[in-house]
Amino acid sequence: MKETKRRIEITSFYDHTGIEKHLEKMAAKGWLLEKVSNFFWTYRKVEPTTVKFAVTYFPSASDFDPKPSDSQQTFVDYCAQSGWMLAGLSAQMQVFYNEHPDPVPIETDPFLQVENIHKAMKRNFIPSSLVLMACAIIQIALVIGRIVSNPLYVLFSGSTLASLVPWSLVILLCSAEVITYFRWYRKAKAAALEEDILLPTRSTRKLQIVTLMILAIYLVFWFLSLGGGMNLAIALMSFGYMAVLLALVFLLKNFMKKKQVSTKVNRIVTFAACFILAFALMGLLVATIVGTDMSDLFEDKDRVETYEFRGSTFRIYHDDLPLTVEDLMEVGEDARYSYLADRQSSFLASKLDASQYPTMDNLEPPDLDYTLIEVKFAPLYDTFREELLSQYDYRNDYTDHQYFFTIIDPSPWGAEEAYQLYWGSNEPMEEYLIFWEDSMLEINFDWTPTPEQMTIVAEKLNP
Amino acid sequence: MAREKFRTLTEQMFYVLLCLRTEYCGMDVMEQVKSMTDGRVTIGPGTLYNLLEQFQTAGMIRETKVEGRRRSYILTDKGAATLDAEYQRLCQQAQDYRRFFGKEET
Repeated sequence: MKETKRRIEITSFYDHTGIEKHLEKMAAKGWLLEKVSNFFWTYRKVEPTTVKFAVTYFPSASDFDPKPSDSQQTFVDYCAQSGWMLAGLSAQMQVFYNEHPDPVPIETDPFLQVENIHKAMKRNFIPSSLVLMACAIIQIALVIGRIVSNPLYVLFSGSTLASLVPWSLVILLCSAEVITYFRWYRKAKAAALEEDILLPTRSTRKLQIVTLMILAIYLVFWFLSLGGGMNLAIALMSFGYMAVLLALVFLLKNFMKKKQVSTKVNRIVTFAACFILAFALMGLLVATIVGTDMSDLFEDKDRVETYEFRGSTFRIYHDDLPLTVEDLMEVGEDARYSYLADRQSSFLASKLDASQYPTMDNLEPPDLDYTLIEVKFAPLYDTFREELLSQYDYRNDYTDHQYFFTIIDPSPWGAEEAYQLYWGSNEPMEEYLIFWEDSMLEINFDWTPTPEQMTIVAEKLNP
Repeated sequence: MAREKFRTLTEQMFYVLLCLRTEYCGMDVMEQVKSMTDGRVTIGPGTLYNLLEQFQTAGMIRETKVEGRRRSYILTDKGAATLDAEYQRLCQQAQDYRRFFGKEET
């Protein structure tokens, strides 16, 4: 029979009423709170018992304290004299229990109690909630900024768009917590002054549980949608990075607490370590990826083979492409190609970057590369169209020889619109932009395509 | 409206100050107040701790002795004046009460 058990308690820091009720229920089931830590609350097996719990706050306490200060210990002594035994401490929160059926409450002046709680919340709960909310807002703003500045990259990236959901949930949770707290504080202060009672706190526990469940389900689906390979590897490494960073920071903080390092030094070292470790671990991660060529570890072995040419190693990919050079013309039997397809997809649009290049030992056969965009969310069509048409504007700012697209006859392509790229003084290039109803294509030929070949392109890529 | 600090005293504040006209260890104040009021007024340990801290910060009591974590306190002149002002206020209230009901009775 287990003598102790650890639980992750989903609760609000200020919700003393909810915490007290929960701990009383646990004691009635035979589990008495023994320790409160950042992640787990530890319970000790006891005979099912009816005890009163009281959650109070000691504003000057800190999560970095090596042990309770003398003044906090004095507070604990006062409580012990009234039969209130300390069950656990966490930052400013103190949890006491009393076996007397009708004990004198720890707090008997509601106004003092409300002000004391508020003082404690101003030191921890409110600033940390606001900082977390600010981080989430910054993350969302960065993604939106990237969507505005580079929609072609971001709107196809399921991962980038996927990050909007968890950050939005963080904002929802933090704002619900802070608003609920301030509503309670305002009403509790009035009730303490006018009625001399302490208003019970309202819990956001249900909202927290539902939000966390949505988040967990969402993350599972997101992981499954990655399908494996490099995308999954990067997602797993990102989570691993956060887990290792958090674990190291908490271990360091707790190690310093055990070694009785002062609150101030612990706080400074922990914050500095958090900052330094965040960069160091990221550097280590990048160095590992670059140094070990992660693509070797996660790449499908059937997809790729390598060959040597003049002392260097090159890859040949065997991806399925919807359009190949062979679809457009006869190629020599000695032609050896690498077929590479990179697909990205979100609920808004999908993009296929395809390329077909001959091997280095025989560069004679023609190559082909193209990008096919399928727009799933119609209002974004014009955004993508503008991005494709203006893709050379940035380069034109730095060169005398301008690139520009000229309208051409779209009929061979079976398209609504078609453009060809020109360079300098009207020099045609073999790059084309083709706009169909729901999709668009940027294609680069190694030769001048015939109208028949244009029609084949349309049949293959816009069936 | 916010309560102006110590302009008027709550019952608990009043009895803590009254108790500390004699030097007492903080922990003993709870029992003293209880016995002074025949159990009518009880002060929770958290409230007592906060009151002692606030009274000390306001210069209404001072620390007289520290034995380990046991700290003893006594009322200062400022504390005595505050207590006296509260007493006068209560007396005035009582007087007003009597006068009001006295008028009612006649």
